[in-house]
Amino acid sequence: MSLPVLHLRSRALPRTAAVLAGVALLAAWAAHWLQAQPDFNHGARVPVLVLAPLLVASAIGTSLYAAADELERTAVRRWWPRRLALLLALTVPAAAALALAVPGHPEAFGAPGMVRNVLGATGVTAAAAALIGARLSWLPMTVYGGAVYLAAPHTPGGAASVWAWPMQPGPQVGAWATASALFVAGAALYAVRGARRERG
Amino acid sequence: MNSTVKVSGLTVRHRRRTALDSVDLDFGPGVHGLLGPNGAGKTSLIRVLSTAAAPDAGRIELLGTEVGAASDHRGRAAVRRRLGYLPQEFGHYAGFTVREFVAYVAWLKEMDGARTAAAVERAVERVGLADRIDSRMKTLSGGMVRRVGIAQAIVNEPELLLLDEPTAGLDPEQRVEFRALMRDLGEHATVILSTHLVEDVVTACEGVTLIEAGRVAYRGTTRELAALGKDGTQDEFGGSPIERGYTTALRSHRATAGAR
Amino acid sequence: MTLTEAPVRRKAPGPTLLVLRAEARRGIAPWTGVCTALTLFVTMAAKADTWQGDWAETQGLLHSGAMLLTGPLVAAAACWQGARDHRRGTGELWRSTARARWSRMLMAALPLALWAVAGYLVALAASLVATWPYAGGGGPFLSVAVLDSASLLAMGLLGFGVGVLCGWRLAAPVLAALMYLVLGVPNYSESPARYLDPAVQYALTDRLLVWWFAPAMAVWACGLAAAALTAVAARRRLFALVPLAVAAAVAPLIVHTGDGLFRHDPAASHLACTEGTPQFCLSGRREHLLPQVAEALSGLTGRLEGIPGAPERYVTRLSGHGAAEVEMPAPAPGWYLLRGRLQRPEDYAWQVAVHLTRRECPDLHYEDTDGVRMVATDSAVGLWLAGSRAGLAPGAEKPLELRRLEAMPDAERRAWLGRYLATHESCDPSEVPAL
Repeated sequence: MSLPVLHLRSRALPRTAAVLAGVALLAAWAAHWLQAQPDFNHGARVPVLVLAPLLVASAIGTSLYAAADELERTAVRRWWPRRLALLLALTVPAAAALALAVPGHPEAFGAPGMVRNVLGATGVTAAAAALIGARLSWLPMTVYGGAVYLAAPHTPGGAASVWAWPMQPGPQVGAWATASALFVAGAALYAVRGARRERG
Repeated sequence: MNSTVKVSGLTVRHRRRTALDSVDLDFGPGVHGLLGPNGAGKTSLIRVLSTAAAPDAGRIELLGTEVGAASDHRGRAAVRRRLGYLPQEFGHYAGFTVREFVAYVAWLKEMDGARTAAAVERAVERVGLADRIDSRMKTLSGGMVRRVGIAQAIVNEPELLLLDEPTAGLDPEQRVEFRALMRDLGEHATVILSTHLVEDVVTACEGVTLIEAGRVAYRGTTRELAALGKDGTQDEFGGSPIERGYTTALRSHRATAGAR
Repeated sequence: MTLTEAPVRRKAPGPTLLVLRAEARRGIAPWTGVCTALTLFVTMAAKADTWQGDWAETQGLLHSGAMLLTGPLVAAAACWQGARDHRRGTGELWRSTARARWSRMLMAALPLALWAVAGYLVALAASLVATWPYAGGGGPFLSVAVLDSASLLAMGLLGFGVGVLCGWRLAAPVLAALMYLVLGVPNYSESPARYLDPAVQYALTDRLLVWWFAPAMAVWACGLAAAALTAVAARRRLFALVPLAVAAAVAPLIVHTGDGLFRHDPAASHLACTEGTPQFCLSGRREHLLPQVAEALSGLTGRLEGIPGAPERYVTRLSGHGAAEVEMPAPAPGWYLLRGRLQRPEDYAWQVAVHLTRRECPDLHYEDTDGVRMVATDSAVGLWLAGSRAGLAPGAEKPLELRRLEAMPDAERRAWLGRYLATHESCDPSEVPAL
């Protein structure tokens, strides 16, 4: 069996890919159903935009688990390009699939907002995997996402576009900047440090 | 001598591989060693004797009660109350303190409530962890965790004690104390010890059973096994008398098994 | 050991108590309680303006928050706890012990579920204490508290069962997402079966729940959870059919009653009125607001004092007896009411003035000059009675009719108003006096 395939299998990639596909399908169905409700409009897709990236980031985060990372740390070649490549290989298709799940109305919780949320959530989760371990890496973003979902103000933009970036409808620059910064920082942290070793 | 453990025709299969093939054994009070190469079936035997796994065929009688596949769970529960088991891979709850974990096992073994606290302290003291009794298990080293494993196995003062690689991770001083503990326990209970370290067998065990490829290769006392090795050339095998006896017994078993 | 020591009077705790203490203090059980309480605190604090002062709003929001947010959280935490034996590799050792599997699992699941309920109760107590100084009549709804607690317990047990079955790392967040969907989606439906969902929103204002709803929901939720856990943990798995049957027996009762689960609160239709003329009447639960309402309308009533035809009664709901009643808005949190204080009293007075001068004339044509004049007159009277700029757009100038009315001498204005009020029921523009 070739090395790339073994490497991917060691990261439980097939299961993660199945989860990503499942979440994308579910998100598409949910977004469509929400919009079809009589009183609602495209702004109704907010729960999908907050929840689906959370799930996808959780799947990616838990798949960053390295069972034999002590051995890997002693490997000859540098490991960080591989880690980064793995993270990107998971994030890019996930973002693309989820963006397709919310077509139309890019300014009101559409594809740009979804991509931004996936990037931000994955960044936070990758950083969490590097800091607290892959198994619980989904926790910080979930707690933050839940809190923001509750507490974000109803009017978009302003200072809230930075701290409540998952809840912004789409074109807010502050939200994009925050999410991109989180992704870059999280990916860099994970690539350099790898997932934290877990005991047991 | 009435046997605590009587096994006849025991067959255990593990994913299409036969781990134990129609084994007949019996053990009485005292300390018995279980030796054998890796994959011989020692762990399978211990697992089945501890009732953690069910056999595929055969009869097992523990402490006078039949516990094989065709028995009722009440009888099994009665046996389990008088049993102690330390698996090869000893899992534990890292957040519990030593006292809490051993008390948890005591509760699982349905020990009498009034006696438990004292029994927990005594068991932990016997394995030499009395000063760490209230520290969390995640702060303990590998050897200490293993000793907690031994403590939980003896907390209910079992009549049948099954230990799978109990000295793994223990330093030499702790191993000496452990063997003394085994001799102490062996006065009243049946202790079955599965190990790779022949010194454990020499100093702690009276009887030795060799398992090879799912069959019993040798049964006897430690002295007899050591005597087996005397005939061979000193340089050919090296090692202590008992290691030579072990290798001799294995070779002769393989020869007879091949001839069959 | 020490035979010379006097026998200790204190009995050593039995292992069950020790084990319960260990399970309750270690692991994620206490954290679950803390997170439940924290989540609810944040939810309630973020929306404090909408519920402080109103018992129904408080418990309604806490109920939604507890079920939709902390419910999935508790299920996820319990799922994590259920997978503990799989993660730690203790399954083999536990199989060789005497105690029944269901007993061991209940001992692991129950402390966590109870911590979650404790967190909820702490948040409930804090919210009730925060509402109590500003609240009027009525009181907390015990049914809702019982219902929420039982549902949280059930979600904990259910999550634990799922965790035992599925040791997958992602099981906890996936379960949380699924629970959020399962609990949240019935909110969008209209069928009576939605009342089987413990997370459905309850509109409790001026309504009461039937007494048997909370116990029935508790039986339904806990029955399902018990069935799931029994199927997973018990040796004779068929015993799971017993709680399942009990739950299935209760469910049709709830579905059949449907919207009938909410009874109208008799105290809500009882009107509490001030003494003297004119009378201000609010429905029973808001009696404590009468002084503030009277003060907000004091300008308006002062201007109408002594004028024949002035309204005798200001009520929140017209009873249809007599023309001397004027409707006024019912203050509620988020609607003129914030923490027991009436907000924007000028606007409130303006609303009452509009009601006072409004005519119910469906066939009238407002395009002809008479109709236009009548409307302008009504508007001017309303604006003058309100007394402030409440009805005018900021920066707009006062209409001509209003300036004329203000310029009138006092006695003449009173006489004019008397004639005006005499015709305020009529739909004939010619009867209405001109300005």
